[in-house]
Parts: sequence; C-alpha cells; structure tokens
Amino acid sequence: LGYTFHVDLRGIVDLLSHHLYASPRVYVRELMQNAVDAITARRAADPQAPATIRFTPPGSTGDGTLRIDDSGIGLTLDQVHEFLATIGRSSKRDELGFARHEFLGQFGIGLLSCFLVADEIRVSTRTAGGATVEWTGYADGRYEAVEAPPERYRAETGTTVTLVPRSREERWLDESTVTELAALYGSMLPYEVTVGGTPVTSRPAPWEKVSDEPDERRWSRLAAYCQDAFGFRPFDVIDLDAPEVGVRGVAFVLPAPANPASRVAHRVYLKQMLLSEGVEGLLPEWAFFVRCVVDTSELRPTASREALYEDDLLQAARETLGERLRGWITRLGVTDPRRLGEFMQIHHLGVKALAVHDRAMLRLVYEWVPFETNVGPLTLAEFQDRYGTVRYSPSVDEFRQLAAVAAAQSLPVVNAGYVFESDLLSRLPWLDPPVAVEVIGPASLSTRLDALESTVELTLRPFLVLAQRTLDRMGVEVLVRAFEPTSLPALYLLDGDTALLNDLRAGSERDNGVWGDILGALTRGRTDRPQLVFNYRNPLIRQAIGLVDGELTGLAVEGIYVQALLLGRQPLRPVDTAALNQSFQGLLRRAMGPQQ
Amino acid sequence: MTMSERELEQLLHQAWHLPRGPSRSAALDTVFRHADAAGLSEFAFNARMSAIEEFHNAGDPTRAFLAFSWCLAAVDRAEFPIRSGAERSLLWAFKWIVWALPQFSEIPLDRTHAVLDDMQRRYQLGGHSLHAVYQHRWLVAHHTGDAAGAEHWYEQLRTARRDSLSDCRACVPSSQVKHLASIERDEEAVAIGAPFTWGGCTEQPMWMLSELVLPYLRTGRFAEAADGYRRAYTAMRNNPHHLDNIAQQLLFCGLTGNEARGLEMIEHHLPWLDRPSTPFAELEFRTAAALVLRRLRETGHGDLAIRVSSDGITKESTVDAIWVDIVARAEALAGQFDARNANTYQSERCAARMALAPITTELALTGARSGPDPGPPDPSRPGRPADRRRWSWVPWRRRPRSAPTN
Repeated sequence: LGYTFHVDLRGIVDLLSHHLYASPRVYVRELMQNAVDAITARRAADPQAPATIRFTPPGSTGDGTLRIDDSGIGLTLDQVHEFLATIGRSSKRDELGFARHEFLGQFGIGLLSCFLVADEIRVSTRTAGGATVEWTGYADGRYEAVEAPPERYRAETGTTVTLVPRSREERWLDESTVTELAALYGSMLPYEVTVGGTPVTSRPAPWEKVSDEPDERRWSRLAAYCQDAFGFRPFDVIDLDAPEVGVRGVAFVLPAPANPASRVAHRVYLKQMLLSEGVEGLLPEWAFFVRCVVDTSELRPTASREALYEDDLLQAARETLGERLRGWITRLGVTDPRRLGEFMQIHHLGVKALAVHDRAMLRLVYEWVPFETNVGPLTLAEFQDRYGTVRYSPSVDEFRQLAAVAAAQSLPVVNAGYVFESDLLSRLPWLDPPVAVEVIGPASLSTRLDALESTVELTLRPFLVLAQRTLDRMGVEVLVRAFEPTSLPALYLLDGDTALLNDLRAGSERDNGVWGDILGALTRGRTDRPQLVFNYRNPLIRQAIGLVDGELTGLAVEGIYVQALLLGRQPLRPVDTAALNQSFQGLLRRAMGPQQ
Repeated sequence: MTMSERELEQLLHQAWHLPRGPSRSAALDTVFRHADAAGLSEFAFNARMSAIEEFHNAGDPTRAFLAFSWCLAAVDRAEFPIRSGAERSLLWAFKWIVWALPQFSEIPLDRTHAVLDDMQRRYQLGGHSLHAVYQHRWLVAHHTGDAAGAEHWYEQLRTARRDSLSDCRACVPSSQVKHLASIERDEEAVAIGAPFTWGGCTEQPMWMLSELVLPYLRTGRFAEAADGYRRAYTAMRNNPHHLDNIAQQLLFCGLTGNEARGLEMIEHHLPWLDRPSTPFAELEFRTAAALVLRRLRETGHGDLAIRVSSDGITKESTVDAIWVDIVARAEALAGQFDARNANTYQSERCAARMALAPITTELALTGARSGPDPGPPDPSRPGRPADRRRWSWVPWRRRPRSAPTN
C-alpha cells in the first residue's frame, strides 16, 4: 500500500522566500511572464488577437486586492487542475533525469512566488469558445476549481489573476510599487503593459533595430540608454547579434580604464523580460571593458531566475559574444586606426588578456599599446624599429634594479612585469613575421657590460682575490667590468632566482630539523650567487685597485659593497651591517691617524 | 637600508598589485627580506602567512615551503602573540605543502613522512578530524607506487569524519577519482566524480575534470570528456599551478585524435618547463606531450615544424626532434623519482603512459553550437535538457518556441 507525503505549502513558500528569491518583488515579473506567454501562445494561432496586460492596483479595485488581466489564450478546467494545482511534478522532465540543481525549477514557481505577498490567489480564465473557469488557491495548500456561475462569465478570452494580500505585505501591491516593478521587469516587453491605465512599456528596446532610424539617432538612443542603465557615456556601441546562441543585444565600451578585478555585471533579458541587472559571466573574462544589455531566448536562468545557469550553452554564448567583440576591435583597426589607438590607450589590459591566446590581437598589442621602457614609453613596434631585438624584464623588481644601469649602457629594456606582459612578449616570435625577443635580468646584464682586456684583467687578479676573500661571508661573487656612468663605483646585481636560492640557503641554516633538510635539498648543486661588479671606469675603484695596503683595500671593498647594496635598495642583513660598521670605523681610524 | 613598518606596508601593498607570477613573487620576497632585516618579526609573519596561499596558487611550491616553514617555526617559538586564525591557516596550509613535497624528487621521502607526522600531531592536538591527514597519507602512498598503502589510506579517508579542515566537496572526490582511475575502477570513478564537475573551490572544476579524463574516455563517455576538456582547459590555460591538470587534458588530445590541438598546447606550454611548478608536474606534461608527438609521428607528421621557446629564445624544430628530447628528459626525470622512491614505479608508469594507444580518433572538439535549434537530446548525455526553456505551471510555456510578435 502506498502513501503520499503531505506538503505544507506555507512552509514551502517561506522556504522559497528566504532561500530562493532575493526579494518578493519577483512576483510582478512572474505574473507578467505568465501573461506574456499566454498572449504569445494565442497569437501563434491568431496573429490579430488583442495583446494587453493590465494591472489594476488596490486603489482601483477598491477591496485591497491587486488584479492583472491578460488577453491570452486562457485555460480549460482540466488544464487548471493539471497545471495550477500540481507542484513539483513534470513527468517529461523526470524521464530526462534532470540534475539536482534543476529541482526547484520543477515547482510551479511562477504561481508560488505570488504567495510571497498573497494569502489567496483567484484566477478567472476562459479559452476561446470555452467556459469560464474559476480557481482559488490558498497559502495553506487548499484550492478550489469550478466552472463559474453565469453571473461571473467572462466576456473575453483571457485570464484574470487577483491577489488578496498577505497581512503586513500589502505594500508590495501598492500602485507605486507595482508600477516601479512592472517598468523594471517589463518595459521592453513586446506587448503593452499598463498599471492603473498608465503604460510602463517603452520601446524600442536597445537590441531592436528600427528600420529607417538614422545611425546617428540610433547611436544617441543607445548612448542615452547606457547613461541611464549603466551610468556612463559609451566610448562606442557594439552590436551583439548572435542568433546561433539565441542572444541579441548591444555592448557599451567604457570610456575610461576598467579594473579587471572589479565586478562586471550585465543586464540580461529573457524573452524581453528583465532577468537581472547584475548578471556576471556572460562575456569572456577578458571583456571587462564593456557592459552589455542582451535579450536571450536560449540561455537558461537559475531556479531563482536572477542569474544564468552555468552550462555549455552559456559557454557557447560567451565564446560567440567574445568573438563579436574581437571582431569589432579588428574591424576598428581597418576602418579607423586612430580610434583603435584611443581604444587601446584606454583598454589595453583587456586586449592584452585576449592577446595571450590570440595572434591577431597580439599583433594589435604589438602595434598599438605603449609599454614602459627605460628609454620612455614606446609601443613594441616602435621599440623594434629603433632597437631591433625586444629585450624585456619579466619582473618589475628586476626592471627597477637594472633600468638605469642598462640605459646608461645604451641598452633599452622593456618592463614586462605587469599583468600579461611577459606572456605576451614571450610570444612575439610567433608573429608573422616573427619579432626577436630576449629576456634580460640582473644576472644577464653583467654579461652585457664591457669586459676588460685579458692583460688588464690579469693585473687585477690580486685585487680581485682580496676582494672576493673579504666578501665571501656575504655570499657575493666579485667581478670587474667597465661601464657607465663612471661615477658609479660598483653595481650589486641580484636576480629573482638567485635571491630565492639565497633565502632557501638561509632558511636551511636557520632550521636544524625536517625543514632545514627539505630547504637544503632544494639548493643542492646550485652555486649561483648575487654579483658585485666593480666599475673599472670609476676613479675610486682605480685607486682602490692601486692600493698596496691590503687592510685598507679590504675596508674600501666592504664600504663599496654596502654602498652598492644601499643604491640597489637591498635590505642590510646583520652580516652587512657588521661590514658597514667595520669599514666605516676602520676608515675613520686610519683617516684620523695613529692615536696621540 | 632599513625600512619602517609603514614603508613595508606600502611595499607589500604594491606587491599585491603586481600580476601573479614571477613579478609578484619577487616583490613579496623583497618585502620579507626587508622585514627580516628590520627585525619586524610580526609583520614578516603576517606577510608570509598571506603569501603561502598565493605561492601555492601561483604554482610556486618552493616559495610556499620557505614561507610555511618560517611561519611554523615562528608559531612554535611563540615570540609574539599568534592569532588563532593563523594557527588554523597553517593547519590548512599543511595540505598544500604535503601535496607538493613528493613532487620534488630531490626531497627524501622520509622528510615528507616527517612532515605528515607533524601534521597529524598538530591536527590531533587541535582536536581536528584526521580526514585531511588520511587524504594526504593516501596521496603520498599513491604517488610513490605503494598500492597497499594507498588502498589502506583510501579506506581510512572514505570513513573518516569530515570537518572544516577537510578539502572542499569537489576536491575530496577528485582525490578519490585519481585513486580509482589509477586502478581502472572507472565506472566507480565516474559515479563518484561526475556530480562534482561544476566547481567547489579555486582548484575546481579544473581538477575534477582532469582526473575524469581517463575514466570518461575508457568508459566511452566521449561527449563528457570533450566538454570537460573545453571547460577545464579554458579555465586553467594561463595558470602554471595547474600544469599537472593541463597535462591530463593534453593526454586527452593524444587519446582522441586531437593531435593538432595537442601540438598547439605543447607549443604554448613548453616555455613553462623552464620553471615548472614542480618536477613531477613537468614529468606529467612531458609524458603527455610524448604521447601526442608519438601519435603525430605514427600518422606521418614527424617532420611538422614546431616553435620551441625557452628563456625567451624561440627556435624552429620538428615534431621528430622534440619528441626525442621530451622522451629523454621524461625518462631522466622518472629515473630521479625512482631513485628517491627506491622502486621503479614512476618509470614504469611513465613508459606505459607514453605508449598509450588512442581510444578514439574521431572525437571532434568543435566549440560553439551552430544553428538556433538544439535538436533532439543526445542519448549519450543523460541529464542534458532537451527542452531548455523553463518549466512552468501553465501549459503554454511548454509549447514550441514561437517568435514574439513585435
């Protein structure tokens, strides 16, 4: 023997109101959705059928109820039983084995949402040529469905829904609230909607193209819409017609740089009814420089109907819309290069994000986007024209370390340390024709400084040996090169990898346990150390090299080393501070001469 | 130079504004060095604590080890008050650390086990479930080819109490799918994994979709595997942290006749191997690449040109030539793991992986649907709605779509 569960409708309604919908305001949308669908269904058979949706607010009904009339297809008594009173069952859907997240969508949500604001819902409906049927549902789950007595026959085909307010929720049924909500959700609907006799629909919708509307006027109309909806005057407007994914709309390009981390929310209409003003994830993530308004017939809303369901259809739509935006950028390069330049100035970040996987966009970045270099801002194309190989530093820290010195050696370097840049530069050789690139870091910079003649270098051996011995405990490698500016005695060069290695070594020495072993294992066999490069062109260094007093040379080397650290904005470890003290005091002592 | 705390704050702030990767990591290192030099231990602690997760997510476990071990030692020394949240974060971070440790062949296994023991000790001390500990004991056993150990810890994991230090709802089954797939219990793997292919945390759904590649393909669920490829690869193709998962998707290409797409992926990701997130992730990528390149050779495309970038230098090479390189390097890497593990598990596994035969050669990876009509439901994809419109309580909504009359 089988039994059925008894479901307390009030409990379900409370569950929905607390967990599914952000606010009871959606009830107006659900009522309009029903009306629109009913009219659309009627018009499919009878294109001349009337198409009106009328809200009559409590002030006019006079009994505190809200009424909505539509001229749609109506329901028969059987349909009323089947559809208004069955919640949570759809045999067809069950067979298809819907995923769990679809579950709530199976409830008669449109109707249930009215119970958020009403204790009683009355429906009076009539199909063409059929009898008038009355259905009354109560929030506790009871309902009645009967053929109407003759005095309540409907003259017209259509449906009237009357809501008896739930106590303390009356304000949701107010004329002003209903007007506001009906306009918000329904202003783009294809059929006229009125509240208390005043129309709330305002067409044409942004995605509509009015034949014979001049381009200029369409632009103004859309710009005004954008100002109103998104609060900015667009740099440009891009059409997003994509019938293959059931989306039409327009994208508005922001007139000022956008932060890729900020929320990108679009207005989405579902069959011309507002789904949400804040849908995320409609466009690829690189497209953070536009806001769009679209109408979709295909994309699936979530159960709450306030967002889009993340599925392969949305993914296809995202790719297709991304393709439209990309096409607009490419076309702009052909039709209006100057404007493309302006666009790139503002929105280079988004284009860079796209260019990582897109050679055509990479070429545009190469041609149009200015990069920071140590010889001033340049586009990569300009850089290549002037200097050939595009040398770049993939890290901002390293760029800062080497920018000035490299510039002094007439070695232009691009700072590619910002978002996407090093990825992009490493792909320049993939362009056609290829662009040669080279990574430059502090360590590789030393190989670009002028080496001394071997005979000269040999004479420096004693100095180098002494300097190396003095600085061994600081873990640096000593070199001599000739470089500009001559006023710089020495250069401390530390690239990120070597610095990390140093940190690992220090970590391993600090810890005698498991972690000392682990960090030590990671440095085994590695010998790279930071470099201190003495400048052979610097008079002070020349003088230090010429010293015969080994102790004085040692003091000078320590002093020069610490100065190079400070110039390189390097932190002083205890061992460095000790060297500074020793050098400073030793030099002072010598300068002041033997004690009297 | 010695910096004030205020200057350090600014430097730290700037570091976080740099892009994830070498730029940000180097800048964070600089902050730590200055803080250490200035003797600002508490500042250094907090800065490192927030960087552990960053290094993990940026595919830079070496830096994560360094920051983690520093913070752990600071907590044990307790020379300044430690927030209770910080201790908890460290317990959580143990999972990232143990995930990465075995992936470095130079780190002895007994050191990894010592960290696991320390993790267990601290979890027990805090009264936490050992769920996450079992998961990571399983991981290490699985990684080193200890089949009996893996099975043992897998069962412990399955029955342990979950708590707030457990991995997310999609990550735990991802581990399970990895285990089941490696012993070819594919139907079970799909049953456990398929419900969790829509996300959970920052690792998801890329991780789950990548673990499911082989179970999906071997059970003939080609459409799911292709959909998984598209979703997972798009979401992680810029993220070096996911190199091992990218390798699984590359494997997908080699097993499904998508060698051309695979070659594109190899070109794109080969530069990453200059600084792979871990040696093991490099091995995974190289073995998957070897499979794709071998398939290209077998189908007569050995002389195809390929661009190989390394340290910013790009050279033209051929499929034949880089196949030789990649296989040799993969074998050498596998040998290093074997030496560490004192067995031949990784060499055998990698040889088998590189020799896999294609499962199908006709699985198209076309992107967007064409045409406005989705057509009849695909019987191979249960759970896919045939009618994408919304169900509702009124009958007309169920009718075929009709154009709105404007």
